[in-house]
Amino acid sequence: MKRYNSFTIGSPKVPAVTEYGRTPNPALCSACRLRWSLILTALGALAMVVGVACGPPGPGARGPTRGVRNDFAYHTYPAEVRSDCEVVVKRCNKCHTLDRVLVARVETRDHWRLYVERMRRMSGSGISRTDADAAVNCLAYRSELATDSQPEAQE
Amino acid sequence: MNDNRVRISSIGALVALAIGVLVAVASPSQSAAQEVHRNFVGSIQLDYLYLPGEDNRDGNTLDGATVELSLKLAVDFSERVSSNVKVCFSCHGFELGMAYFDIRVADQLNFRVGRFIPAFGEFPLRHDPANHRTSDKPLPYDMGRMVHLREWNMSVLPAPWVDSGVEINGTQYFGDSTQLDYAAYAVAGPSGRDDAVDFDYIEHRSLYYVDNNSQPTVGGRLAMTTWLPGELPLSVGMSGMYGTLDPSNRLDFLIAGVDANIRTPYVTVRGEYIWRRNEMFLGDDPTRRFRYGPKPDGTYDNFQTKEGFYVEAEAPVREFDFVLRWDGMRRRGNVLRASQLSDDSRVWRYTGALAYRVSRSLRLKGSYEYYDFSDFGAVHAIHTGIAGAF
Repeated sequence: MKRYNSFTIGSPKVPAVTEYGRTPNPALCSACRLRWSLILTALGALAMVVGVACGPPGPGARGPTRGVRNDFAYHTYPAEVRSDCEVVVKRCNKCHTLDRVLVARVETRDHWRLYVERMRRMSGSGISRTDADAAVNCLAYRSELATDSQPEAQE
Repeated sequence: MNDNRVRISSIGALVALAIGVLVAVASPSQSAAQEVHRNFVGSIQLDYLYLPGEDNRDGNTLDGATVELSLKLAVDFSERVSSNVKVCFSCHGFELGMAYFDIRVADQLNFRVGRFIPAFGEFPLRHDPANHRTSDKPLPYDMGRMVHLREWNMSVLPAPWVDSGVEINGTQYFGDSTQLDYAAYAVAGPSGRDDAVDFDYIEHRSLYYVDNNSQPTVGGRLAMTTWLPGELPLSVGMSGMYGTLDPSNRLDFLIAGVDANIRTPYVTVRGEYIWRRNEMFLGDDPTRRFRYGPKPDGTYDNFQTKEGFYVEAEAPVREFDFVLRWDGMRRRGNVLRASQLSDDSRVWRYTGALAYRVSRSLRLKGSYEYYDFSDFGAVHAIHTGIAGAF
């Protein structure tokens, strides 16, 4: 019977051995695994750096057209609504994608007010009362546009 | 199932519901004339997990195709009262993912009553497959997608951890730039048998969601979100959960976690660490029950620890989202004789993932994962899938 002492600091470890017919896997080569891991991590990091460097910033980037998507063309909205929509782009994609806001079947300002209020109260939402008011303003405007048959570009 | 325990749980639920109704009725903004708004949403993810070169005849990994569906109905009765009902379908059939009332008295005081996801950690907020960019969840929150899931008995706390009970939560705002969130809850808690060595997730979602013991599990979370100069949101949080898992209330557990994340216009970086200690039933003769013998002093430890972490960076570029993730788990403690783990097992995983938005609500997902197990051979895993919200 092996001694069980994995929690005894400083004592020799019980080898992670196998019993009952299991045999150690020859692929368990620490150096090989580490090398693989480092190579993959480096390649992934490189891909991400290149992608970020070559592409435009995502939602939340600063600037007059930050995060603009062709299915949420708020840069064509009136100036006072545009700034409110930037709040939506910045705040409403922390826990979910912005898509979930854009596909929500909410049509009236009253409903948006309750909807955004429910989201604001989510733990760690990062949405203040001021933000919520702005978000409601933008989303209600967008809904009114759709009701007035002036749909935005659809993908 | 003990009738007494069922009765106590039922009484607790009724009391909580009564409190909720009273608060709702007392709410000054509750108006009979106010229109009730309903919102129906859902998501679907179809994922195919391919393990090149692996022989998975023992079924210890859910390779192949899996589908996850969630349907949610949110009803806003007023600014102060709303309800959410969510049904999910996945690897073990239909499950009730949510069924609760939110009663909001003030920003600093809200009640959540019913079946919900107790506040623990940051990832559970994004657990829906349409809300995160990878095909699977970080290891400490894995719910059935990890390789060798049965040997590991899944993760530290599978997400979404859905439980029945009551939660009090609230937010204190400090200007427009900082918010402090708290949550405290009492829920049924994880389940296990009297001779358990780990959580029994099947029992937890069985028995019509009735608790297996009379002692509630309590927990809480404290989190702060602040906007740094340059409008960069930084969030940090800590969570804890304590209770018993067996019907006799003899085996207790403690879970603790910390998390942090920051979002910049170019990349979002997140990290979490979760640690769990749960007691194990040793039995009359641990020598026959467990693989490893006693400690030098002749005694057996009656607990195991399971911990996990993840760090990830997510970068949106046009219609793409790139994700790099490093996560892992470690389990320490004696093991049953039939277990394939050792007394100190660990797994590291390296993930590179890409999500491509093909339309407003549809994303193609792909990822490569490299598993590095201490007790098994290394495994390459490839996920391809499609996820959408509606």
